[in-house]
Amino acid sequence: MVVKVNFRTQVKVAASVDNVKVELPVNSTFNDLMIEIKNESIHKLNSILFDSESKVSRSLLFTINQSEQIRSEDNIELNDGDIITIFSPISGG
Amino acid sequence: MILTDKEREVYSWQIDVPDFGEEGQIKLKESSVLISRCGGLGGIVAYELAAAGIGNLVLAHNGNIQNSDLNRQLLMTDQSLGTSRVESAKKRLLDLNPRLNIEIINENITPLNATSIVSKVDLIVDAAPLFEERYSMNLQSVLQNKPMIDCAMYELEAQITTFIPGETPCLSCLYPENPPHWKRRFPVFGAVSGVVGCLGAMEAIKVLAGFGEVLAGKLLLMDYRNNTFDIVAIHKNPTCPVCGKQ
Ligand SMILES: [Zn+2]
Repeated sequence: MVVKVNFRTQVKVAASVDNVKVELPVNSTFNDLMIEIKNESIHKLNSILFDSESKVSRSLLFTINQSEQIRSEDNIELNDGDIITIFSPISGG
Repeated sequence: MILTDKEREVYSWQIDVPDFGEEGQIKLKESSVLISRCGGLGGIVAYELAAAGIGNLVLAHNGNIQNSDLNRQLLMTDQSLGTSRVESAKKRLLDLNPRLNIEIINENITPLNATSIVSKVDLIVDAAPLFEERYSMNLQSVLQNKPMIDCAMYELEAQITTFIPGETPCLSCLYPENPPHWKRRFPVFGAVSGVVGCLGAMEAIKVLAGFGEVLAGKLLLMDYRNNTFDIVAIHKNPTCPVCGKQ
């Protein structure tokens, strides 16, 4: 199955692309997706997406299908065609 | 509290909004709002809230006006370079609407001053650049049971949500840890901060006057680079250290 990953805010700047399509085995979960992103070594992203212990950073916002927040600790199952969007926090000034 | 004849005339176009009316206008006149800071984002919130007739504004922002403020901080002027930001903001707001009480605080929000500053108001508008300031206001929003409108921008993107203590997630639910990659200075256009500032002002007006539907438990995400606008449902974190036991 294929999952589209949108990059937004500082994550988009780090990735230098707006989105990628990631091929995953059927029944893959959110964490499988993150491991695949890590293994595909879009390495510019590793420091912003993962902490020093290689866990998914807690200071990121994830949404599914542009309608709902999801948390990495819930590790939801993904479906073909899902869209995951990753934001780093932003503020004002 | 009643409106004067002058106020009825000044606010007549918004008093005509059917579910707002004179009753809503009186609620705004009786309200107090903290805006921190009053730069590109908060300055626009303050300008719109002053125009709308919020009776009491508390503006917290440290420092003097610099050249690099002027692309977005519309309460600051070239002529006032080097002078206090909050003094300039107060003057511009009173030029527009002299019927307001405006308290200025020449400090940014910190864990030390947040308790007393938040205690002065009914609602907080978070427009601060540093997450330390944002977390300080969020904690007091929860402890003092006061709504907080959270506005943010980056490059051509913007976000806004309204935190209602006891009802919605809080800032720490959304971002449990201070983001290590966030910097005080970031790329942005003034027109982007202006749009989200106007949305923040309208959220404040709706919360205070009690009409319409606010972005409670919903995060509005905008990207002007490709003109996308999404509203996503956001959720409480049951283990949130700030609001988790509420
Ligand atoms: Zn919380």
